[in-house]
Amino acid sequence: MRAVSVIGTGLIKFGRYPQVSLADLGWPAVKQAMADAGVAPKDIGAVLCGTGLGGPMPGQRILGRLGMTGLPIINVENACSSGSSAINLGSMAIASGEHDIVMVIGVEKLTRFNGGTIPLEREDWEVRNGLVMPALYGMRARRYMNDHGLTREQLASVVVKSRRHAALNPDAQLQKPTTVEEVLQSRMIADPFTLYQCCPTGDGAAVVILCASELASNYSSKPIKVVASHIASGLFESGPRDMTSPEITVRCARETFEAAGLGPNDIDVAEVHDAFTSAELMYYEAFGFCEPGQAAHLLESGATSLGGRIPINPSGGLLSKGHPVAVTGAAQVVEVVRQLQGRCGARQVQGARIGLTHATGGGISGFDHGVCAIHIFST
Amino acid sequence: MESLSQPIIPQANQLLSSDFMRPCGDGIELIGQRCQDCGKTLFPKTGVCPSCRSENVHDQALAQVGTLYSWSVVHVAPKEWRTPYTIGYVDLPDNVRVFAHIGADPQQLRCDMPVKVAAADIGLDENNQPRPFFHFLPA
Repeated sequence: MRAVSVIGTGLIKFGRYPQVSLADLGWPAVKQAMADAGVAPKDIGAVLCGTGLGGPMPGQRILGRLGMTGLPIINVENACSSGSSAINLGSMAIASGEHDIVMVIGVEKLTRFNGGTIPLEREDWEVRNGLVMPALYGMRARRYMNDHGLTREQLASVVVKSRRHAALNPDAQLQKPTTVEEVLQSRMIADPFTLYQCCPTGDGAAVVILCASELASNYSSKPIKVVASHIASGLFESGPRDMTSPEITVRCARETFEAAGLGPNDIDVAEVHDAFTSAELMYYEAFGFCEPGQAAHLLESGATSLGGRIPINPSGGLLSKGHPVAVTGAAQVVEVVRQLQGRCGARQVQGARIGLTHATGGGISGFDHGVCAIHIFST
Repeated sequence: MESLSQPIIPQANQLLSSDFMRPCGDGIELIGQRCQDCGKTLFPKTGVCPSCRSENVHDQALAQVGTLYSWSVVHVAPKEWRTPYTIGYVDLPDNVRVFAHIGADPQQLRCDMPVKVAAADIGLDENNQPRPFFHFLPA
């Protein structure tokens, strides 16, 4: 199997663009990534396009705008891990020798749903009967608060850290610094989460160009190696299970670290799936950045802030950058690759050499999450 | 090899049918399925066992009393719902966790408290009529 590297990245600023079509959200990010990689259309062997809710054939719609058609284009749906699942497939397409360069797109237009919570599958028993994503995470948070003594103020402080990072990221939707009081005073969405503790949605597009490592220096002066690309699906469980430990992420992280020959202490920077405040804390523990029950302490110590031992979500994460479903996984890779290239300006994690991304996807009965995708990159 | 002469007509899991609960005494009981081959109990029933893939499953009445694992009060939901409403997970004997509405004042709720099933209307159906369902109340 051949080694794989990232040679180019592209990103539009997430936000509300109701007048812009999905195709027109996508192509500017494609052009930025191609310019970044120094590739021409003829260099690209295949395109994988992730979308969760964007409808049929998003890849063809985007590339039609640029006249880049006729090549293999495959669209990938895996909920909030669609973009990162597409990166996994793209990596395999290069590792296998089938293609030398693959372009991966994540694209989503959520303003067409007119706000509210992310639409879920109505055939699902729990969704049909009143489940919404904030409440699912809310139930996990409630139980964690019960079992570990986590407070509402500690939950809110995740947002304070997120906004502090986002203030340094021009690509974040929510850049205004906030306070614990302000977070707790925002309106209730699903107890214990107030509005600020829920990621905004919005529209977005992110592009990652993958290349066989042996060819990468022909294009990029700073290619970034894909050290591990791993996908796990959730375990169906109809009985009681511990919702304070995200089983799928614990398992996927263990498998990814094993495949990479690395451990949590080797990671210099990480972008994790902080869809709601409690999620970021539980993922500190799931990745082994701290012991079970110690997440709030790790946050309060400053270890996960910029300048700390293991900065988590330097981009501001989903909580401040926004969460256009399928784009998230690809956008996390854009951030970590740019961090490892030393191109992140005021939010740069100094000396970062190894970075990790983590996107989950859920919203169906019986699963902790349906899917988890973890990638590790290195300089 | 198995014969392929018979077409497969899928019919399991009538998802929106009302046969997930029935009267019992002065209340109701929930109806799940029990696998006759491996003993796995499942709610709601699907017609196939997720442990051994057997289709030899029978209706099984579930215990009326369980414990509240966790809950959340929902303030933002799709338009067919009247907010706020409370949902939770209730653990029943037979190794079943049930997604449910919780009928009590949220201030009364505690993790692991005993709760009992009862009939209740929730949300609205396609004709804007209240939909018969169930909720759990402090036992």
